[in-house]
Amino acid sequence: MNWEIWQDLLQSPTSLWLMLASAFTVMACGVPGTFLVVRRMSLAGDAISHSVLPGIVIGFLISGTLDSPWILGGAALSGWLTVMVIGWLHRSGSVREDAATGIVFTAMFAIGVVLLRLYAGKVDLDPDCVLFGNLETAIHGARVGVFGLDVPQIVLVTGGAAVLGWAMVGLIYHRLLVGSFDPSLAALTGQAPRRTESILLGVTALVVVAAFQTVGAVMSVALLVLPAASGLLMCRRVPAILGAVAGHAVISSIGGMVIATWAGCNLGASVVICGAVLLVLVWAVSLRKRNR
Amino acid sequence: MNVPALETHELSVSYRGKPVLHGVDIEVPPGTLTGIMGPNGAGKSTLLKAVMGVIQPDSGWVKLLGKPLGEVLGRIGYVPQRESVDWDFPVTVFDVALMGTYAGLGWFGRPGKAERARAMEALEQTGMVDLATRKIGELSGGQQQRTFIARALAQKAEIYLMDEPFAGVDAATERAIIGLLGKLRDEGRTVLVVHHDLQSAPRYFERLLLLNLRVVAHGTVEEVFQPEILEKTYGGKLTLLSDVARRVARGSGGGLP
Repeated sequence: MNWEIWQDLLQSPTSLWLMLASAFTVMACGVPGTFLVVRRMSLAGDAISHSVLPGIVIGFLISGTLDSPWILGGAALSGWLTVMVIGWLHRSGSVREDAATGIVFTAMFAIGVVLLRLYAGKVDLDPDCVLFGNLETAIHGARVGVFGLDVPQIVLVTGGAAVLGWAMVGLIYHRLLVGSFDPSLAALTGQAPRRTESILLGVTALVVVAAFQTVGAVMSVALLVLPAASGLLMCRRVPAILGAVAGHAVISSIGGMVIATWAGCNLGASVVICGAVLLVLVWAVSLRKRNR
Repeated sequence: MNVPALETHELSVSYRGKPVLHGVDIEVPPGTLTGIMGPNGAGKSTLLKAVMGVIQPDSGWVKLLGKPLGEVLGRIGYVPQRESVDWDFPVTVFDVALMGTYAGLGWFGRPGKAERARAMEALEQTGMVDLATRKIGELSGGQQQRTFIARALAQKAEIYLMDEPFAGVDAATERAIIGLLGKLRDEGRTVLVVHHDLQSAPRYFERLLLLNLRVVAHGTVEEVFQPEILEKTYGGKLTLLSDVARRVARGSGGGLP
């Protein structure tokens, strides 16, 4: 083992901020992702994470910066539009829901990519950064003073997203649980399963926007699904899965940092690779347990 | 007269343009135990779903306890069809029973001591206390059904809608469940059960609703469990049917085979 990597990592404040931002991102995505996975709605996460792209590009074209509320608004709008169009196609006609999802979100993503290529040259928006994330650059962006500490804005944004995810769970956990497990019971007992689902999808869209700068549009779906899927292999109850998601976030952000430093590659991709390795390890352990 | 526990008026439901239920007009008196029977595809589950508001009817209306569904939420209990449950979902037996107590919690409430006690009491009644921490996917068919009956009991509802609670359960569980249903009825609650087995129906229920797209007959077992009515419901297709009909004709009801 090369100990110098660790020394470098721990001595550089930038590395610490990078790890913190990626841990926050994984946590932020993993929490709504847990409910998407247990509801077997991972594809909806995929749909949202890809379909917010045109909104982000349009928001950027209007405001000219990646940290503006226009981005959030644009992303939320295109995510919402996608969910609406999918529902409409499914209800009004013979298009199956999974097919409708596949059609609409890839179309939205394609529109986003076209907009990106058309206009990115004219403004300062790096397509690679939007598609694959570029935390290494974002960490050197705007800084905000918090309690005398000079915090990169991206850490605050991803931290805010993590807080949002956990706040949702803390406030309406029971409605999320019963609405996911048995929507009929939820409806029959006045638990508003459809509104609960809208909240879940809305929070998913918001955390995905926060994840854009960390891992990009293509890989953010990995963060929605990977931590929750690993947790589901290990745990028998949803609260335990949420705990596992937090653990997964910490481990994959540290591991991702090590991989990125060692291989000199994109941090977002490294975090996702580390998460995938974790999932495989957990899966292997769960197989051994089952066979015993 | 007492307000009927369940009343439907000219209730019609179709699925993709194909009628599944047509002109269902029934009144179920409170404090009764009713079996809903009919051949496959007769609309039994559809009727429950329409009553629960899960599917929108094309026409007609449903009243529960004399009111539309929206005003009696929380007073209606339900046991889903086994196949409709996601058995891989990460919840324990106790979690499921506790869900029966969520009705009064509101958006931000969480179940406290009283709710936990209610869930535990319900698990005691169905004999599931020892398995309370088991994941639902690890249970046998009978235990799975007992878990959902416990959830229904924890609801302390006035009307219970159950979709084939006897499907795939062992004999002991079947006896336990029918005992609990009788107890609910004795407490003045109304229970409607989708049921498949003609043999046991007259022993289990006091009222029967025979469906085949429309209501073929609805009344007490004595009124309804007649060879010609059963034949009209099932179209005389079942060989079992003639057997049951013969037994009914002999006046022995439908005893154990």
